[in-house]
Amino acid sequence: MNRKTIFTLLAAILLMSMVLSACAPQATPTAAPAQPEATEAPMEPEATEAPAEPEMTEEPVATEAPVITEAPSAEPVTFIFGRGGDSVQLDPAIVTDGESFRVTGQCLEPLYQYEHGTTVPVPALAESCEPNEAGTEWTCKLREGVKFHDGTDFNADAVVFNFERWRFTDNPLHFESQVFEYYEAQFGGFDDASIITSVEAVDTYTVKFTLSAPQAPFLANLAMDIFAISSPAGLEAAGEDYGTPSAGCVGTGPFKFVEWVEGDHITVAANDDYWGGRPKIDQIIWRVIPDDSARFLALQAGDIHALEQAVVEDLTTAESDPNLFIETRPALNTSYLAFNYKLVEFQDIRVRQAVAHAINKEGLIENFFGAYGEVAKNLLPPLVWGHNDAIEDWAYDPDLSRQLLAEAGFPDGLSEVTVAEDITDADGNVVFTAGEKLPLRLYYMPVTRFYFPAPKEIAEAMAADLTNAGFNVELYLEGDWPTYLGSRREGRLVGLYQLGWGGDNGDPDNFTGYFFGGGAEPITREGWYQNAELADLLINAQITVGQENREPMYQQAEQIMHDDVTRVWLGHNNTPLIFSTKVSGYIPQPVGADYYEFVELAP
Amino acid sequence: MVRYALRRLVSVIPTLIGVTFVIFMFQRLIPGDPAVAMLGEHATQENVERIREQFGLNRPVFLDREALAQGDIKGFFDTQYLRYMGRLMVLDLGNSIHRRIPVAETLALRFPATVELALLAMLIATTIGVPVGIISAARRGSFIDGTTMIGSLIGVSMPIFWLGLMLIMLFGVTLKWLPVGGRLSTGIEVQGITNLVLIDSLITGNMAAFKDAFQHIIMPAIALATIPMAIIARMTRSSMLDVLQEDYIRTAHAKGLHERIVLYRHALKNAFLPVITIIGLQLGALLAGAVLTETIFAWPGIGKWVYDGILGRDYPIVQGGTLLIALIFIFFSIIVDLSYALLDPRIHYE
Repeated sequence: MNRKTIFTLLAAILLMSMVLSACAPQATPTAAPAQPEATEAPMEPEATEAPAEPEMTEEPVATEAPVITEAPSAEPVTFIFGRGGDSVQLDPAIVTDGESFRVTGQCLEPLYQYEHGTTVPVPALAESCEPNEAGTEWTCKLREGVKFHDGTDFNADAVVFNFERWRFTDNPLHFESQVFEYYEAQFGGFDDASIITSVEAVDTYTVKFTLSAPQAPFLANLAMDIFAISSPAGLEAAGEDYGTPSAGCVGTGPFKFVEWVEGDHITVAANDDYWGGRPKIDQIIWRVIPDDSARFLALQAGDIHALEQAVVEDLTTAESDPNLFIETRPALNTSYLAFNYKLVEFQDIRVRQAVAHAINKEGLIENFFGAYGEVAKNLLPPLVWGHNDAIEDWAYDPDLSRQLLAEAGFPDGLSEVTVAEDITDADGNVVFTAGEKLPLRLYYMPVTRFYFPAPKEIAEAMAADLTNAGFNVELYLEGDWPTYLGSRREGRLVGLYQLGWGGDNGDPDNFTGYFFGGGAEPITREGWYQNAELADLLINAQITVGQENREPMYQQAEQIMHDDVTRVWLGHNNTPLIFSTKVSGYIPQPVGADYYEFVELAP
Repeated sequence: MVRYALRRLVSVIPTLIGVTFVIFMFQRLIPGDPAVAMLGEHATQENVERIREQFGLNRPVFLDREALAQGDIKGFFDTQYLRYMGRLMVLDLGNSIHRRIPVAETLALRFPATVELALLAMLIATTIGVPVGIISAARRGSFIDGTTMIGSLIGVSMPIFWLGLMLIMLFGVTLKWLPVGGRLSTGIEVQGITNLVLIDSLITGNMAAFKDAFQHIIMPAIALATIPMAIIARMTRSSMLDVLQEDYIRTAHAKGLHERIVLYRHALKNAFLPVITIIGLQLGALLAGAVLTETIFAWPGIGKWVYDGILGRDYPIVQGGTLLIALIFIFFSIIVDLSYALLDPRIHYE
């Protein structure tokens, strides 16, 4: 009789899953694998600052074919990339996550793109964009003869169509469920608030942008993956579903969308008619393998050809594995330790200086960032123009810290801080009252970010450094990531807190301007920091045309931030990517999607 | 019996309403906001507010007393919870906030993966756990008993992420016998009928796909089976030991029945009641998704998905996922209760 029960159980579950599967979308037939054919050699990567050489590799060694599949004959050459998470959407205009841009960057192209391995904007779908003298009009000549993957023509109308969709909230394709986060961030807002006041098709291949005020980072903005041009026909056909697994995306890029099995993989196939020349591989598959160690094992087993994000132990293994090599994505990020300026003690620059001199940055970088990190002395990474290399970083000097603390009135060290003004939450409730005494907290991030490996361990080491210099800090876990970010946004991390930033477009405004450009008033999100001089300078730098004019302004801003000990800058992290030695031609980008079209796979 | 079953089924509805209520309350008690989770370091005040408005997160959770005070009856009921319940009435689980994909659609794709893995893991756990328990009980105190019980203790306390990585290292990397993750190799396609890949490939006679799917599922299934297997073995053993001390077993022995008949016909049947309970509940737990196993073996089930939903504050995913999980648990507890009546003639439900 027990058998009967088990049968009942099994039958019931089967029934349930059948009911569920009844509403599942039918498996869509995938496009036939593109035939590898002899085409013109694709454009070679230009000689630029070459991405870091593969490190520590020896002669490639032939390995046995490890992938366990029923190999059909004439199998397409497929490059399989392992990653930790899935894309959110394949409509780049409405997402902010790198995993989405990783894919859309292969299928869609903006008017400009970033030069290989650098952050310099160079023409892509536009052949050129020239400003008028005042910097308020940009005229772009478009590349002729380019077609979208659906066969329609790329032209000025398509560009206007896309920009109007992003800008106008009443545009039929600007859906309520979609957040055009970056259009607003980069171009000042929607509708009438937009800095771009008109986009006109002058002729079939000329577009004119009119701006309400000069915008210095205009080309850097145009080159962002976010502002890649989608096929108007594709957008209209998919409607609100554009960018979801069922619809994918339609652009002009070197690869065409094929399929997306959510949570598992995304496949794109080579675009035979790509204007830059057909890619050398036939397909790319991005596979989601959430666990870092399992992903590395998949690479070792040969199930994937490349991966990003590995634990330190696996990086060490990879360095000595003859079948693997490592390349680094140049750092366009900065990690830091921030102060909450609504604390009386941190309003005293001597206390901030004491913190800056207490932290042994070299030691932290060496121990926790490993070979891929570099010490930061500025907010701007060295890769970004405007970086001020003349600045001399605060030396690691615990004795000086103690002395500074004593001068500030804390000869016995600092273990308690005082709230200077009421701090409220989003609903206006007072969370911390003026005059309240709190233990000196060091808030650590609850998650690892690309700019901040091992935040808790780093916090422990920081706490030890600080103790050594006379500070008595309490490590504090605010909650999980959204909680942490939420509290930070409301200026409620009352103490020292860890955070960092990854750049969006390689323009210094995207770092310094984003953080402190609003600093005429205390900036809640930035720990209530206020510096009108810095804010004026940054706002001015944002509307000044010409890199040669802007660069000294950002260098000056760096100096102001250093002198004021705005924050303790910690490190810039170059991201290691691990490849099988079969792979060549992959170009990691500090900003924007990596270039895959030159990838070759040895058999 | 039938009336009892019907009554239990009807009681599912208030239970589920209670579940939605509790989920809603707890979700909103956790600090952190979907908009902030979505926008990360970049979140600006305006954007956060707009997203909150778009998804109705700016509305009160249960009832809007302010609207009532202004005499706005419609506004009083226009709250997050009641909007959600309204949609649920027409079986609309809503769309994911981050991905904008209907939750029901993702469930339909991912739940079968969980079901397939859970069933195979349970099959392994039961076919090994039950006999091991019986043998241990029959030879109590023997070397076999000692070994299997120590083995099951190890099984219960084995960290799955460690076991999973060891399996991958051995069978995937060193021996290269098995693929290290995923549900199917790239390029292998199976026509979706039940969305259980093993069954679909058998139905369509696609043996290459069946072999591939089996190679993919076997490691995660073993990893997932270890804990339930150990629990089942220990439960079977202790339950058998209880029964073997009963008078009627002595009587059976005294009648001169063969040891095997005493063991299997007289003892096992009576010892099976608690074992069935454990199997049912364990299966329920496995069907709720296995976050660790799914993470390590890149298995596209519901566990990791709901977990990510919680971390990302993607409320519709958490609501839809937990509702399904609750449904499974209720379903299995009913099945287990009913199975008592089938197994034990002394139990009657009225």
